[in-house]
Amino acid sequence: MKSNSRYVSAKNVFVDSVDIDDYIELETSMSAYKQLEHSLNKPLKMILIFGKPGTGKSILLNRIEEKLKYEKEIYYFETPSVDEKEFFHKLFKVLTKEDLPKNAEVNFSTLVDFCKNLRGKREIIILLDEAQMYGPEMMEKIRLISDTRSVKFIVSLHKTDDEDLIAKEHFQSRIWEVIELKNATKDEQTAYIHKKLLKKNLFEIANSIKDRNMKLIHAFTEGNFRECNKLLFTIFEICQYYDENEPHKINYDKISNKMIEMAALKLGYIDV
Amino acid sequence: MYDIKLLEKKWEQYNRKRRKPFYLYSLLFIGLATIGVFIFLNQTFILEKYKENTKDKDLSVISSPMVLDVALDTLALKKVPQKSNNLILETQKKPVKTNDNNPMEPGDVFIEVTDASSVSEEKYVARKAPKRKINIEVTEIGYSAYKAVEERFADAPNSDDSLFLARGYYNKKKYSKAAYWALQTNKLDGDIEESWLIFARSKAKIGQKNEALRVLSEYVKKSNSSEARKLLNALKR
Repeated sequence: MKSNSRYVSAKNVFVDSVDIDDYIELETSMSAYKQLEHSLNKPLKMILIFGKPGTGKSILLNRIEEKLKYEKEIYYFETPSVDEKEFFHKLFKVLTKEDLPKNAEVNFSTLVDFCKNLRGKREIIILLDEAQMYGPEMMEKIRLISDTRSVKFIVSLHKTDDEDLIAKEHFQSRIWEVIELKNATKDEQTAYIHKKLLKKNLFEIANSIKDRNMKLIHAFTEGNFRECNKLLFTIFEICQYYDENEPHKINYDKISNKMIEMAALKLGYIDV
Repeated sequence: MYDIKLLEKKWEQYNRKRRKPFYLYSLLFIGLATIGVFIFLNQTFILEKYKENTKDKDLSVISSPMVLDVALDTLALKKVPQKSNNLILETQKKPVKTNDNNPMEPGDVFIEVTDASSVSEEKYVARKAPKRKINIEVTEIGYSAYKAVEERFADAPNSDDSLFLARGYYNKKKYSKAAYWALQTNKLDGDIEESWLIFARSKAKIGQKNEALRVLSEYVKKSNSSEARKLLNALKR
């Protein structure tokens, strides 16, 4: 049975996805975007984007690809390749614009030579998301390809101690630009939530989330966009239940902190 | 969809747990406030009780001469401004007796209080309505009190003060000073028998027996006092 609850649309707004349509322009994300755009115009070999999971790295890469795809030769490697072979297949296709014949393998030295030949002719930008998934050996090969100066890599990395180590070991000498993404402040997160809801014309629901609710949401999610999406989705799902089953328990004008806390309990942000 | 009922239950538990410190602090605050109020009321009660007791004692002193055993160390005397006869007796740890009938014993001081004065928390005020007389036997008086009375005497000579000092110093076996203050009393009022007697006794004690006899004889002639005569005879022996 299809629900008529107003909260269905609201919760769907917060389904976590890397959809460019969902991109919300915030002050910090705009600043990161401009910084990245500026860096791409420099003769840099590698650019590192790093930050905690859920700080908007993937969506930033997505947006830059979307914006520049008609101006530059830009490719977004969304999912990390499970092995080296798969990665080089993908790279071969990007460089040659042809599929690798079945049962054929890419010879790395030939690939590097091919890239060297492209220098001055083409400038390829490869957006490498979740780069912490690549092993050190693979990263070393990526570095060697970037040294040809015909392929520029934008590497997105989770910020953890180990991953910082990888960054240090494999990129330190070659990364010319580092863009760090951070969790949102309370005001940014408020703007993010409101903008997301207003984008889908959910004005009443946007208005029902008051400042005290925002404070609580920020406290639970620490300004992390992914966590924020998860929490908001759960809040609206709980609201949907009350709306459909016990409407006397819900205040449509303002969301109660009880709903937020119930969602937080559900997600394990707090426990009894 | 989640099990909302279970989630609600969990939330209620969480809410109770979250409010626990608040309740504890509230209880603590209420407890402390109650103790504070109790202490405050108790102090007020004790103070009122003390004032009441003090008042009772004053009244008993005024209405009927009787012996009071008050745990006082020392009685220091201060004069209330503009009322030269008001005497404030500062309480300390030695006993004070009011006695109208008992004869004076050596070391005792006779105080004649002729006017009323105020009572404070730390000061014991001996009052006397006009025309009524009481005897307060003072076993020991602080030197600061004597000094205060001496200063007051210097500002406004008064036979009550000088007699008080004469008594006090005699009591403390400071006979030269006792003789001096008895003389001062006599200069201001020659009809106070007690000061003549203190003068004679003091002179005798410091080895000026002849002077004591001479002065006492003159007084006996003048007043025909039996008490003075008794002392004269005793000194002559």
